[in-house]
Amino acid sequence: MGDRNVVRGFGERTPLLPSQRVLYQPDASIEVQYTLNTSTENKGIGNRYRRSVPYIETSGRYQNQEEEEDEEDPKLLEEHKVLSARFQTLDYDTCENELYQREEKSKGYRFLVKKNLARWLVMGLIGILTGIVASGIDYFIDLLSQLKYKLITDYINKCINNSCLSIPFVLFVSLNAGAVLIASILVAYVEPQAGGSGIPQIKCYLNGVKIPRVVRIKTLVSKCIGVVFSVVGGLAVGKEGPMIHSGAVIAAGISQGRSATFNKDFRVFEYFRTDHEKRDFVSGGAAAGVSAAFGAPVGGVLFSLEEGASYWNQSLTWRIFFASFISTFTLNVVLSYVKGHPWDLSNPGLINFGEFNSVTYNGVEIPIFLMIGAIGGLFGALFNMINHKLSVFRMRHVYRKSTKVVEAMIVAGITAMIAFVLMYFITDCSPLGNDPTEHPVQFFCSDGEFNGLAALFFQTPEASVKSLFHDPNNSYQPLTLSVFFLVYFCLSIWTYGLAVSSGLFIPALLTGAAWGRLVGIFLAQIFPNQGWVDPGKYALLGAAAQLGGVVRMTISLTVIITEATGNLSLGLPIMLVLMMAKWVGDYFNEGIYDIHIQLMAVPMIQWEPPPLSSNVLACEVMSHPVTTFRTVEKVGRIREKLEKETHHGFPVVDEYDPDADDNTTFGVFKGLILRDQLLVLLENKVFKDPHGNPCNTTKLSSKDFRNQYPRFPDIKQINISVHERECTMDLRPFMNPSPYTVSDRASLPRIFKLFRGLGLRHIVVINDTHQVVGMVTRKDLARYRLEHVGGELKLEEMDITHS
Amino acid sequence: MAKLTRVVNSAQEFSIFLFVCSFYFVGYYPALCIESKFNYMGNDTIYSISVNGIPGSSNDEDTWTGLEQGEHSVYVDFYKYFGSQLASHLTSLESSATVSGSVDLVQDKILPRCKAFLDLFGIAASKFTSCAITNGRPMRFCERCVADYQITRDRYEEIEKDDYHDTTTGMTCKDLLLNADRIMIIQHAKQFVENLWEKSHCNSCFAHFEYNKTTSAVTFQYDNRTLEFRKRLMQTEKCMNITEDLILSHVNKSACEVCQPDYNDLNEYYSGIEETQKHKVCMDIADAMNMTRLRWSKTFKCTKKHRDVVPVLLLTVFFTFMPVMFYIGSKIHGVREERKIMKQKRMKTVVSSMDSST
Repeated sequence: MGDRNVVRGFGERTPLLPSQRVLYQPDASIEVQYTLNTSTENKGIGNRYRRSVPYIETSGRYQNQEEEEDEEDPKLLEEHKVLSARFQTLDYDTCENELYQREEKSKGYRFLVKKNLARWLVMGLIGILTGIVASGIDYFIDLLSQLKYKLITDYINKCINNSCLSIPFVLFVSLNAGAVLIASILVAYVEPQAGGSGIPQIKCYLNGVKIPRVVRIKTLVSKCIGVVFSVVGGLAVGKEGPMIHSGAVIAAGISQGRSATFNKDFRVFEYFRTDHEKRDFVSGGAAAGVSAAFGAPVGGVLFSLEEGASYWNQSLTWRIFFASFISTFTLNVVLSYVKGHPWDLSNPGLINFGEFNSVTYNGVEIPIFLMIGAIGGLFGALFNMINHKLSVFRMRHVYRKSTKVVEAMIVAGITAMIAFVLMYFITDCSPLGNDPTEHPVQFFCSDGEFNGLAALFFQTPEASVKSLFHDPNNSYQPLTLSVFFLVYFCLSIWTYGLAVSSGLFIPALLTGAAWGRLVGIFLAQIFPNQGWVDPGKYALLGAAAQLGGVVRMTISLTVIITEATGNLSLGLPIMLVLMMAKWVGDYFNEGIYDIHIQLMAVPMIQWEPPPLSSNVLACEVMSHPVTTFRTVEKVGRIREKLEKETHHGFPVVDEYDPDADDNTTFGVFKGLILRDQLLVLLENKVFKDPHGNPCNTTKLSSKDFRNQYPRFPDIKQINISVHERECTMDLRPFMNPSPYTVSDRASLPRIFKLFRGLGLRHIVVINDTHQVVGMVTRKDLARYRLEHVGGELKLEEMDITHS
Repeated sequence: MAKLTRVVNSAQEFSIFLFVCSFYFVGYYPALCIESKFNYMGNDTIYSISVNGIPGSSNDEDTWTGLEQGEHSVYVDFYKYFGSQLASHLTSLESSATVSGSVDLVQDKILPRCKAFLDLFGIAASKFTSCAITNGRPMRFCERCVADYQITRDRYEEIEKDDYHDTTTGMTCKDLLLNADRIMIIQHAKQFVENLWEKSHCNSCFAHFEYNKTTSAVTFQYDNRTLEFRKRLMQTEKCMNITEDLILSHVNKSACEVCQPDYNDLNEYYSGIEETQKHKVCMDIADAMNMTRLRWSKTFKCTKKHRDVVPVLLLTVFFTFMPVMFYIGSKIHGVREERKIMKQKRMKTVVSSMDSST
């Protein structure tokens, strides 16, 4: 029936899935695949055959699902090749049940206007609060780090003459480790979701995955305090990434008009208490965060567009833009007061690349830009590869809370140690006067000079980036820059993924600026007296290349960097550099955020369906069998199923006998009901006794469902008496009567596009006679993942784990 | 004419006004005329002014020795001097202008009143520039050019404040001089002056300074810190000058110790100033400090550094061991419990549905 041949990557018409199925078998030959004759006539045969191969070999994996116990997988799981079942999807689709229709009819036009105005108001508030939080972070980081640097500088200057350098050394190391101790305790013990930059989490949220606790106020507080201490602790981190997360949390908090943590309900914005509205506001909050972090309102909007919001509309974009601008404006005003020049609006973002007004470029430089982009891609890929390995190691071996804290402290201590040792042994002296730092450290330089390396290490990373961009041409010697680049590159790899809240942008920019400036100095040697050779400009492009190589963002990053430099004429070079960096980097691996999302085992849906998968049909993708409820269902059965299954959506059907054996279809499809709705119904006991009389008179409205949002009760908390189990529940008024369905012949790309475009959570698969045969959820789709390694593509199917 | 006394209110300045008016009648600005005028100014007038303008500046050994604490009043006799000098050369200028054979355009003629503004500002700005350049190294810019700076500002302000509308055109001199063209030479000149002053943080040298119109004098008072710093600097310099030969000839390090207290004292005081003024130290002071430091470390080689390598190395080795131990330890001890794979619910075979569809 088929030929045995060896699969070589990607590009054959043969579906790639079967060979990957074989992969699950530990001792099966990986490279073997049965080529199928997939002409239309005998497609059915092809499919049948295809399935039978792995089915026989893999013991029980595709056997019928009635067995409940889990089977231990003999081989070690690859951390990035599993999906976790604990992640739920947001309900982006509105449930248009009878209650909803009734409510909408009663509200009318006035309500619509009010709701729209409220949307603008909330967006404005999001902008203002994000700006204020950003200024607060900035202020405290400045304050604390100035104190720290001043103390250490004083000690060094005193000790350099008195042979007591070990005192500032130990002081430096322990101050940094102490600050990071606070930062990592906040993450490890208080709120693990506050760790890292938060961009992967927000990316997932905007993609439609509900990451537990990611938009809680506790997360916000840990994140903000944590980032202050991790930056003050001298780690190779920035405060920009966490701003995006903070903006998102603020948005989620304000739009709900209440705090579940403090159990306080302000009784406003009740109509925004749905996943749909919340996610829209969160995309505004993320944009406001970007905007405050980089002074890049347009970049913020594009960030939300690029990273999230599969479902996008013009008026939402306009509101997000508003939030972005308000946020950068607020930051600007608050910082102008903090810095003592009220209303001198010169601080649009936390990081400011300074003025690049006079910098232009020459046509002959374009090949050089492309080269810089390629270098950035290579370095970025290297960064991602090493960080990936390290993260896997951390997941396997450094997973206890206490060891996480110790690790963070060790990294902080070593960072300080390296800085100190470098300053100690490399004497790169420049005359004082145009000193870039507030605390020039002399070390072993003559009086009247300062140590160049100390200048780079003894200020916050943001300030160092600025120095590399703008300091006069001869401020740094090539040796200093090379050493600094190497050290900082390694440190930033080591640091990302620690249990502290930390941004990745600044370390990447700083590393890139260091090697970019080296390139600039090198070019100045080759082409002396050329007007266009400006190390500062090359530092900027190097920074862009490095960042692009690591995060692989495209349009939003280009705009963010262009806005942060305030120079549109460098827009094209920046874009070229980022494009090259992405292409070169993508040849080797994925962006760092995607890698970390995979490690988190989040079922993320990519932009595009896997290519050449159109012969993978719905019946293969879907989950089967399906737990369905009849339109009038017994309470006992509902309760039992909710306890047993973790599913979230249940088709409501007619003409179905649940007790029959060996069902292949599950009744005629009528609608869809969600777990949350069932829980609310059970809690309110909307039952009818066996004679058809209502047990109580409570009449539920949409508001009752919204009031529980987002923390619904657990099924175990709901008490249902033996008597009540015999009652029935009429699900018809509460179910969504017209959810999206597909035919069992629909292809994977088609289903994928529906999910991506409409932000779906469930799609019901029905056959020609309108009977339910399966359900497709996000995990069913996300388990197909395209792997590209070294230019070869292959489609893999992932396992799903409980944790 | 009566209105003009508001601007030109002293007798000395009136003479220059006369000169300016006559200049106006000549019909000027052809290239040759300008050249001759500048030559004339460059040769003796400016020079003599910069020497006479500020007390103590004629002392080229160390200008600061001539200054004492308290208020300094500088009488600027420049305009008187300049005015009379110019007036005496008026005729020669006039002749040179005619010799050049320039075309006397109607549009070249501006109101004498505006012309007076222009010239007063031009003289002040050029004098400031010259002062700045000549005092650029060794840096004594702030202290020596404060009078010129203040006068330049004042002249500019007078143009800005002018609100006398000419009867024929209805324009003020402000409109004519500041807003009439796109090059805006006057603004640029003013900007240059301000930038130089700002960048040098000159304001922090002084407690206050002002220009008194009626007496045509600039009064200024040094900041207490400036005076104190200067006192200490002089003490250090004195010591260094005495011991210089000793140190350089014998390369005797013990000689360093003679001036060490003074030098340390100066350094500490400077750090104090840096601290209080938030790194916006007046450039004169900053430069003087830098020069002293360089002299101390480069010429005298008196900076002593103790590289206590051993404790630093020991600590480094100790710290380096920590991550190594940590990762080896966690590799050995912490192996995470493997995650269990969930069985996915899949259709056993798709034969039935597929068969029905084909």
